[in-house]
Amino acid sequence: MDASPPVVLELKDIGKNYGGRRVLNAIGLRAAGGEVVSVTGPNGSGKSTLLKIVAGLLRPSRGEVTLTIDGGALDAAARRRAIGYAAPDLELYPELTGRENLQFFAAVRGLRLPATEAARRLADVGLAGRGEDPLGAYSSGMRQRLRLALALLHEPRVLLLDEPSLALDEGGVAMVARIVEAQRGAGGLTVLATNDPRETALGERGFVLGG
Amino acid sequence: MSWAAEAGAVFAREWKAEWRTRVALASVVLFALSSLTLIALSLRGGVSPGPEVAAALLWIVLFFTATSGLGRTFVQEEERGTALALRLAARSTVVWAGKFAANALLLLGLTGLAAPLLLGMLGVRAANPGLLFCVLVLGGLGLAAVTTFTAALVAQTSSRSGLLAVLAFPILVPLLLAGVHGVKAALGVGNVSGGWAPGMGDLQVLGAYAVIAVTASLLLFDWVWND
Repeated sequence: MDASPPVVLELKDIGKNYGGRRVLNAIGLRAAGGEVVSVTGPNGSGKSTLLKIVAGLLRPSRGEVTLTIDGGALDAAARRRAIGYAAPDLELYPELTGRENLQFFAAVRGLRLPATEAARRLADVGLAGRGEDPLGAYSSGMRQRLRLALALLHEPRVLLLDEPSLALDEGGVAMVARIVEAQRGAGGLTVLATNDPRETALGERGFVLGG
Repeated sequence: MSWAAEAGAVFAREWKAEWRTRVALASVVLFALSSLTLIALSLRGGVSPGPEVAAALLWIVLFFTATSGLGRTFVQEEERGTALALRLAARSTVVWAGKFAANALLLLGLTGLAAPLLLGMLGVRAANPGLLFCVLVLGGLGLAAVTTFTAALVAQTSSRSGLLAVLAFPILVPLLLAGVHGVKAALGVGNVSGGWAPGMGDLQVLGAYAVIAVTASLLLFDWVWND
């Protein structure tokens, strides 16, 4: 019988250079479903870069990322579509409404998201009644809530959250905690890049990047 | 949902956004109309330059309209930061196909507007309107495919303005040659009877070019989009 957990993320000797500048060096990590890992470190230490490498959005200069789900290792392209990712630099379409953004990203994932289901998803992140507003009229906190809804759209087994509470009010911070707990309860893996003590407290494992 | 439905979602979003902002539409229509107006003013009261020059002028307008208007599609994704979300959610071929379809529709619509206007202003009549239609449709598809692919390439660079035309032109030379020759045949140059035979070779080149351009773009786009 295969005793390996259904979700395993393994980073081996990850390094990243931007030009001549070394941002990440020899990063190693192994985490499994049900865990919450918080990545901390000073500004510019490479937290966001590390999450982008895990997401398959950036190619590491050295090392290897292996994400195994139900025994199958995913390549970078499959990793991108399998994970749920929210980050401050992830922008959505300002000429579409919140609902249209969700429905568009569901459609390109091959998912059907009827308007009622989209409204429920928006209500889950505190955007009830705001789905028909154009994104251009959203505040930064509302945009962050929509990013979180987008990250959860396909019920991912791996959630990568880069400063998830950024621009959120107290209710939003509590919502992030609920999302992380729900992910843990469902046996999924969450990696948080943050320096916010309220977020680092959510993780049972801490990973500190140097300056 | 199927691959085609996913590409259709990209296509629908492109047009929905375009309908609400009209940025690319305004850009290509303005470019085409201002070019046509300049041509009309320069020829006012003069002798019609004939079908040879008309064919060349038509493709010049289409080429620069395509490179000035269609290139925005990927540049805007990168500049606004929406490319990140799109990379995470959509397969690369779906992104290219949806954007290509949106660009092709825009370019073909514009061709439908610009070609009769230009030929009317120059006093040139088509000897074979069917051949002219086929040449412009096949040429437009090839032009849209190459412009869409090159736009994605240019969007990854820091010097975006003007680079698209420079990169796309050498790739488009076979299409432009066949396009100009095919339009000349449709306008009656060496084809007084208005038959199809003088333009068939050009149609074959344009058809093959469009197929190769679409296939190569689909095969290579992942490398451009994700690396």
